[in-house]
Amino acid sequence: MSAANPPPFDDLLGPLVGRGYALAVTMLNDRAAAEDAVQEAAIKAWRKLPTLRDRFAVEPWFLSIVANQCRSVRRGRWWSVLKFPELRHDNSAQDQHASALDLDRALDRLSAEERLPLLLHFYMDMTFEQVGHVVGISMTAARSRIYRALDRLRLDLQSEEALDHG
Amino acid sequence: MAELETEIRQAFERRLAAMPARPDLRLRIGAAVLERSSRPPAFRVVAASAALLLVGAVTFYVLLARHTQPAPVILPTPSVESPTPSVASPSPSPSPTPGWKTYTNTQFGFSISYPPGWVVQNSANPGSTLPRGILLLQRAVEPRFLGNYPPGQVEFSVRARDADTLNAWVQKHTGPCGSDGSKEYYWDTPSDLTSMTVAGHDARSFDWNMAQACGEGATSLHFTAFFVGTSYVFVLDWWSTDPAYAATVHRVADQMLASFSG
Repeated sequence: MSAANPPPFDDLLGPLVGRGYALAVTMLNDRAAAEDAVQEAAIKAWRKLPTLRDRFAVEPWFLSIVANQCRSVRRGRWWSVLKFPELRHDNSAQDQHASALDLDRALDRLSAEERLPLLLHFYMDMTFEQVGHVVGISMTAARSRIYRALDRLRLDLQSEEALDHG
Repeated sequence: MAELETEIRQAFERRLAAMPARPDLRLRIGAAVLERSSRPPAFRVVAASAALLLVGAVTFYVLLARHTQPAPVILPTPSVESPTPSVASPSPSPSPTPGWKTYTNTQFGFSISYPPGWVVQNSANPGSTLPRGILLLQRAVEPRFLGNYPPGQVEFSVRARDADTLNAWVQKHTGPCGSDGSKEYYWDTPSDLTSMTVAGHDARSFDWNMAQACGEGATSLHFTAFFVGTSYVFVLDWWSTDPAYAATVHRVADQMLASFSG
């Protein structure tokens, strides 16, 4: 990649906008804020593009900028850490199976920083190393964080099940 | 294990299907990137020069105001409610300067001033919901930051009064970050709880470090809360992620508090 002739935005970052939005909405639980965060992140990424050496690593690099932007937004909008998504109240959710709803609620109860590695690993199929790159931690720490979040989910689901049968 | 992994994937698919991005998001972002990156380099020089001039003017204005303002309105008073909060001397803050604009809310019966050149707007994004117990949430911010995330701002809110004393109210809304929204936790570890008087109201000020609470960046929020009537709590807070900007936001927050009437 040459700084003098950068690739068009739509070639390089355009295909990543959707995944950036998925990350942002997972962290922010707010559609408008997520879209704004991805836009700001894209502008920052475009400016930093000359510093990107490995074009094949562009996805974790871009997603790490989106994640940092989301953290800034969450700091500025402090209640976002307490706010839960409205999607649980969506009509389409009413038909879902009870266990799926339990899992949705359990995911909601995780913090944004716990949900993020799960999204990257299980939804975006990223390796532990790539997850670490995006989150800004080592591969080992990324793996630990994913397993800890899974443990929390399992415990939460078991509690829900116990309550249902109690 | 594999089953749970599959279910997690499906759960994320449901979340994203419930909050889809606008179809034109990619186009919109592409246009924004093009627009920002096509600005001539001279723009940055002019913008930097204007910012320097503005900082100089603000500094001059602050120094001038400190020498010409009457006695501070916010005064420390001993705590009579509980021995828990410390009684410290808050930094003196000048009264609002003539020329400030006034925000008036007839629903909750109060008014508060804010600097000329700043704007007051809903702090919540359109369509988003506030946590339970928060009835009104506004922010005062410089318009130059409206299109971006500001380096600092002042927020004020009206919340339900659901405790007999201020200390009990602060304690009632103290809980871990990331808790269920029904818990109505607004902070998790308030520190430096201090008694003071704000515009004739017995008040409490305290800090909350979100970084410690939520494992995120080093942002401290500085709160002041007091009862308004029998049903409401007025809360003003400020924060800044930029040490150079923090003094400006702190000063504005103090002056806004001093101007409170209700």
